[in-house]
Parts: sequence; C-alpha cells; structure tokens
Amino acid sequence: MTIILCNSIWKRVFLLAGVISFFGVGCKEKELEPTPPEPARSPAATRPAPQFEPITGVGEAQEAHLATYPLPQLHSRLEIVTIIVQAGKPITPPMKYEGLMELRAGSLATVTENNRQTRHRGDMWQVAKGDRITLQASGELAVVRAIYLLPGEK
Amino acid sequence: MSLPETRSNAMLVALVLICISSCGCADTTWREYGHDSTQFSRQANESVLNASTVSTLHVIWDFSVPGGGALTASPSVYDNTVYVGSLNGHFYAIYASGVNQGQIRWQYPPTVAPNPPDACGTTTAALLVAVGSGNPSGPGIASSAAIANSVAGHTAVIFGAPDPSSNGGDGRLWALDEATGQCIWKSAVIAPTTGTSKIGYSSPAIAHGRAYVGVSAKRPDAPITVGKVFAIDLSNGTLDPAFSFSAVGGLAPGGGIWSSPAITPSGNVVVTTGNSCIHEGGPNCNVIPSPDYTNSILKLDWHNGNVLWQVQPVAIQHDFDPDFAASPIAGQVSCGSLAISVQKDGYVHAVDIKTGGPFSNPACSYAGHSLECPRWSFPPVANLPFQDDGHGDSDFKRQGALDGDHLFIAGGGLDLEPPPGHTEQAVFNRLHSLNVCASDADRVRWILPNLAQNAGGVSVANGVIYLGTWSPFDTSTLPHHLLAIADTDILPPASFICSYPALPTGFLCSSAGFKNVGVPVIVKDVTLTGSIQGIPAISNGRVYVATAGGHLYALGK
Repeated sequence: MTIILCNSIWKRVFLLAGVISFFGVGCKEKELEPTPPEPARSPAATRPAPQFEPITGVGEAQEAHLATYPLPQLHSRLEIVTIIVQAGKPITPPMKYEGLMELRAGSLATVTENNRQTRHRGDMWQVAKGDRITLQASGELAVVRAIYLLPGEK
Repeated sequence: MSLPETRSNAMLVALVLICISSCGCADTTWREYGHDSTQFSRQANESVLNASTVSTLHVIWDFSVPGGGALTASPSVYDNTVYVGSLNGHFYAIYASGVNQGQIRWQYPPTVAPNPPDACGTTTAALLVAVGSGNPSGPGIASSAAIANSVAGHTAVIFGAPDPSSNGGDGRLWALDEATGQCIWKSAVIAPTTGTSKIGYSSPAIAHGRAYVGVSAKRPDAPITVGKVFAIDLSNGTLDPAFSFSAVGGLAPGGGIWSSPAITPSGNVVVTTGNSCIHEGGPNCNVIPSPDYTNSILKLDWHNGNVLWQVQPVAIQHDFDPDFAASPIAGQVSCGSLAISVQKDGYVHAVDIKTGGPFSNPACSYAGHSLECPRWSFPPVANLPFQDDGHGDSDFKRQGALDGDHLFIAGGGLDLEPPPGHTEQAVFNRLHSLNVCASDADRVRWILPNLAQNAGGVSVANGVIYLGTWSPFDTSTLPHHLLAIADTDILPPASFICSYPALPTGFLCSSAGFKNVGVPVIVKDVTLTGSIQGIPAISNGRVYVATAGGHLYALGK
C-alpha cells in the first residue's frame, strides 16, 4: 500500500515537474540585458569651447565672439556673438550696430520702452544702432545669438 | 493507472495550467510613478477601457484638495485607494470606487496627532519646507508614492517629503501603512535644510528591499545643488551605507535628480540628471567637475552606486540648461533592453542597458569624459556630444510611455530645430509615437500635431494612449485636457502628416526622404481644471488624473 501510494505521489511530482519545465523552456534563454556591439560612429571633432567674457558695463551678462565674416562688396563685416542672459538679471547691452538677434536656447522677454515681448526659441528680431533693448531670461538661462553688421572689412 | 488516478492527474495538470496562465494577470494596481519600476506607464491588465469604450470617458468623481493645494505628483493606485501628495504638505488616500469613492480614506499628517505618539513623532503639522523652496517641486509633496510590501510587516505607501519637526523641513522618505495611514518609519535625513537640496519630484523606485530616490535643488537653481541618489532600507528607513552616488566630484555643484530612478531587468538603477552651473554663475562654477555626471542618463550598480555607463548628449562647455527633467524608461523590448529619456532640448535618446560595465565609446567621448553612445537619438544625430549653443530649456520635461516597441512621447521631432521665423511652440505641442526597434528612417509611427496646449505625461492601456496637457510651473486653475488617443494599430488614422511636419504630405514629403505617417484619432477629450503635470494612472476601468489646480479626478466609461 505504501509503495503504491509512493509511486502515485512520485508520478504526480514528475508530471508536475514536467509541466512546469515545459512552460519554463524558452523563458530562461532570453538574455535580460543583451550587450550588442558598440555602434560604429565617427567621433565628433572637438570644437574649442566658446570663451565667454563679461560684457563691459552690463551687469553679470557674458558674451563670446564666435566668428567674423568680411563682406568686401559692402565694405563691412558680420560679427557673430553669443550672449548669455542669466535668470533674474535683466541686461541692456549697448546696441552699437544694427543687426539681428535670435533666441537659441531658453526663453526670454525683450523690453523696449513700454513694449514687452515674450520670445521663444527660434524667434528672431532686428535691432538698430542705439536701441535700448532689455533682455530678461524667463527660465534659468537664455542664450541669444547676435549677428551685427559693422562698417569695415576688419 | 486507475481511472480516479488519471482523473486526479488531469485535474492537477489543469490546476497548474490555470495557475501558470493566470499568475499576475489580475494585478490592476498602479504601484509607482510610471506604473512600476520600469516606468513604462503601461497598464497591461486593463479589461474595461479600450478604443470602443473610452468614447464615453467622463468624470466619475472629483476630489478637490481641501483648502487648495497643487497636485504635481502622479497618483498611485492600490487596494481600492488612490494615493497622492500635495504641495500643501498633506498626503491623501482617497477611496477609488464603492460607496465612499472620492472620499478621504485617510490623510497624513492626520487631523489629530496619535496618542500615544507613533514611531515618527507624528504631529498635525503639514510636511512643508518652511523657507527657501521654489517652483512646483515644493514646498510640500511633489514626490509620487510607491507601494511596497513587507515593510516591517506592513504594505506601505512610500514617498519623499519634508519633515516639519526637523530643522524646518529636512527631506526624508516616509513609509505609511497603506490601509490606515499610520507612520511606520521616516527615513534618515537625505536632504537637510542646512544644505541646498530637497526631495522634489523624485519618486522612490522599489527593488532589492530598498527604495532608490534622488534629490534636486531646494530653490531651482539658486543655488544649484549636488545631485545624489540614496538607497533606503525598506525594513527600517536607514540609509544603505554601501550605496553612494553623487552627480559631480570636486567643488563645483550640479546634476540634480529631478526625475525618478528606474530599475533595469537585472535590477540595476538608471537615473537622469540635471544641469551644471558652468554658465549660471556661483561659487566654483567656473570649474568643470570631475567626475561630471551632469545632464546625463546613467546606469548605476544597484549594490554600490558605481557608474556602469554614462550618456551625456551635450558637452558641459555648451550646457545652457538642457537638463534631463524627464525620468528614464528602462526595460525589455524586442531588440534588447533599452533605457530611454527625453532631454529638455527635445532630443530623445535610447541607450542599450547592457550587462556588466563600465562601458564607454570613444566616438561619443570628449576630454575628461568617457561616455557611451546611445543606440539612437530622435531626431537622429550624426555625432555626439553636441557642441553648440542650441541646447537649453525648451520644456520637454515629461517622460513617455512604452507599449511593446511603441514609445509615446512629447519629443521635439524631426523639425526640432525651428526654421527661421518659426518658434518652438510649434513642436512641443505634439505627441510622437516612435518604434524603438526600427531604423531611423522608420522611427516615426505617427504624430499627433497642433494640440491646443503642451503635451505632457502619457500612459497607455489596450492601445489607448492617455495624454494630459500641461503648462510648466503653472499651478492655476486654468482648464487643461485629458485626451484618449487610439493608436493607429487599433483605429485607422484620422489623416496623414509628413514625418517632417513642416513639409506637406504626399510626394514632396517622400521625395525629401521623409514618410507620410498617420495622425491618430482623439477618441475623447475631457476638459479638467488645472495643468496635468504628472502621469494619468490606469486601474480597473478608471483613469486617475491629478492636476496642479488642486483636483484629483477619476474618469471612467
């Protein structure tokens, strides 16, 4: 009787193990976090980081001169400058030349006399020589690209 | 074998088959930020809401925070209860359904202090930072709750919050009994008020008997803080001394953890970090930290916090505040295991999680930074790290949802760089569906463009995507929308759009190398009060939505 009972139990145990292992097959073979080969990419050429300097007489704002492009036929040149405006520190940089400004990163308000305009990334606006335009960052930081048209090729 | 024995065996086999086929299938809870520690924001066991039934989605109940108080955390759902904390410093457990639905089951702190005092020294004072906390990540509870079993014999609700009885709001994790709200423990201090950090939006990820959580700046980012991740022992709230991660080394601060850690399939920790202060000014900010884990997706060894790989898409010299504010998604898809997140500049990056490490790839590294390359970025990127001035805060701050290989996310899109005269508003009011295992050319599945407001947190069940609209930092009661969107595998698209949306559909789109993709059907649009900053939680035929206008909604068919 005992032997018969044991046989019966063992049969059931084996049957159970068989069913479980049947359903277990395949689950174990999938690697949880496979490691594919590193993607072949060409390394980015390291650019020199822009050297930011305080804008003379304009609080804590900084600017970096990026490039100059001569325009011989116009006897003038384009100066490309990046300006950083920090949160809570509105600035009124001197507009010595006419040009174009573009908000490159962050958000910003421009204030001219009584006209306040919210600018979003990608917005461009024209500035004229002598303008008094206050730039005020709405977030933590705003980055403005200024393209000035200056007389003279150098 | 006798007949009874055969019958008995057959019943045993049937029982095993039933067990195997049903195990786990009935779990309709929403236990953590992003549903679970993978943060897929997917409810796999929703049996009521689908593309057919969601057309009648409406507000079943509306819990308005007593006395007002923004809800910028996401709701969690367990035991017929919805759990959410408020910036007013109170944590609420609200009955999900039944005769008491929409009513308070308990709140913490309680209206009457426990007598005798409990293990946490609970009073009736709200969990607030007394002074010096900014934006809707404070002064109260912005951390979403995680449900954990076996916490000193309880099933517990765990979240980060200030402790009013400790130096005016030292930041700790709190473990409350899910049924009664009784405090089981409060953790050791992880964000002291004497420092510059607090537990903001970061929500605990539960694994290995620990809760992993990060800290961010107390008043963002003035001053900026040092981002750190902590591992807290669930049995008693003590810090695991073996686990340590700081986002920066040296004196320069940075790398706040604004997001919630995710757990990889093998149990490691993926985190995203915030910006450095290199262009923001402040003490020691003119020094590049070493190591520098700012603005990165990182895989950390769960035992000790060691970095196993780092992806830093924007070189620190060009860090104009493009934090990873969005949490990572981490888990298995058909082509492996990926960690995915979107940076504030709108670029989505997906990284192979991999086994072991540390890993790095010279192609994506630069001086002083041994970095890994993402598997893909969206929009596609030829070279990383970025080295230009176009990567700042464009408010892409909400993580996506993942259903199989289908990612739903508010990312910038192929026309992320706005053409001259076009502002970025045109790109962050749309939702993308991306195939995470496809080639770059086939990445975009569909686009939902031109939403009236910004696309925010997303969740998914049965091919229906739930999307809240939001306005960053907005805690007003202005109207916002919860949209139920049918994936184009479920319902045919309403129309078509070029995958580069600035181009018209048709031949012009395809001849330029882009694809004409579907615009999914918005099956239901429900107007709610307040910005939806968190993730809609789906559970048992209901969608629970918390708003910064101070409402917790239950929507159903």
